[in-house]
Amino acid sequence: MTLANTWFFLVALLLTVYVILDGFDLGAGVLYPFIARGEDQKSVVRASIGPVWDGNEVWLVTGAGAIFAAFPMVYAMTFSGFYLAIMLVLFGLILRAVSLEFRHQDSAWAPVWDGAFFLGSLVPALLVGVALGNVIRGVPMDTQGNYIGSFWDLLNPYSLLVGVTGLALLTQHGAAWLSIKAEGDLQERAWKWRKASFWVCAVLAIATSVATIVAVPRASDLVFGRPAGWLFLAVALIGILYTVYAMYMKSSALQSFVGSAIIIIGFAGIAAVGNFPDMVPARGTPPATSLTVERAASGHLTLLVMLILALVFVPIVLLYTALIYKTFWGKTKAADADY
Amino acid sequence: MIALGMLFALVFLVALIMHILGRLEKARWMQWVLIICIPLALLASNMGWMSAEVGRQPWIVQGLLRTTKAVSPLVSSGQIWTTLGLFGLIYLVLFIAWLRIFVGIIKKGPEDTVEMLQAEKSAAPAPAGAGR
Repeated sequence: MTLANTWFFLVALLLTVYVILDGFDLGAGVLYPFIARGEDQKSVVRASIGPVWDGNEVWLVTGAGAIFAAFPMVYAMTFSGFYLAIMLVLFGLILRAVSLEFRHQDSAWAPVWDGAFFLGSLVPALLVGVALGNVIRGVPMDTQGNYIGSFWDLLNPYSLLVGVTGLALLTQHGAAWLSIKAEGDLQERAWKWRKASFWVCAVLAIATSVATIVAVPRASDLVFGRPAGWLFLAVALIGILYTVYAMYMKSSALQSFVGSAIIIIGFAGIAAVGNFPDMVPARGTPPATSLTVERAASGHLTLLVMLILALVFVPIVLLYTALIYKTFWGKTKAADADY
Repeated sequence: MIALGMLFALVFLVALIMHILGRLEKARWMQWVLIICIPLALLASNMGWMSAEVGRQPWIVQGLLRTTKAVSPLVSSGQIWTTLGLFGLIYLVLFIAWLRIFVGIIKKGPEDTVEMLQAEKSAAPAPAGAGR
């Protein structure tokens, strides 16, 4: 495994951890207006993610930072080419962060902050999937790796389908989280949403799989043609079966959350195997314009220094992250909202 | 920026001496000086950014990369204006919200804070595993 390939794996890992962690708090924000009734339940939903959401978002910063340093061409192409979409995600995350901070200080503007929390969760949860759809489907690029499509080209049917599937995936993930953290009436409603959104997600995932085989055979051929592809297909299947088992045989919210995390690992792995060795494949332009791992990677020394730093600091981050979750383990009460 | 920084150090020193002498609570003029320093601090930090960003031109990375060469060919000026406008709008809304909350907290006065601290102290020895 070359150093560049190692970094492809690490970037995929960082972004997968991001989806697992920030995924549930984005999902909780999407569900917020639908399942929380009254001030107390609303504050339980907010407080359940209160101590962790900002730490979770750090994995996105780390993932994007790793792309910036390890694969500068990919960073330049995606962040400039997808400029407006990425700015929308950014505005969503800003509004969401501020609404969580201001909401309990400012009852007069409660509807404004509630709306900002919902929209600020919905927009990133949807657009991250749309971006992934485009990266799987491929985009038109010139020989220097510049994106030559328009903003509207990014909103093609396939990418929108991946976006909606991603939204459903995060929503069922968030519902599982709320089923763990909530009590009573709120918990019951979260559990109903957890089951319903799982099946919506399952149907959409099947639709996305079929659409990928039909519209992006390059990716599906790579998945079916590689042992790693079959491995992640198996992981996704195990995650689905385990989630169904947790929901209907065990009635365990925690186990259904673990199942959903396994599904995310499976799906992310399938997407990564379907793209490798491309990071962003070309579509409609010559294959030589594709941004491959080798072409987009930084120099050897940069990658080596980054690897050493990552090996030192990622375990530290994992350690304190685990400590935070341990500290705030258990059910969330309305009174915890002051945090 | 530098002048403001010096001014803050001076104001802090004067306030500290007055506090030690027990005269800060009665000197209304000094309290006004301290209040005026709040927006001045924001001004100083912004001027610091300006001198860093404007002072470096025409380089975006000093001595290595010129700003004109670093401009993305993909992002049109229309897109930049759109997002700049949105940034302005969001910051305006946030400024209004912040100002309301800020003024609200000040109007409540310090008594509430004392009560809050007392309430926190009495709530602190709650049984372990109470949901956190």
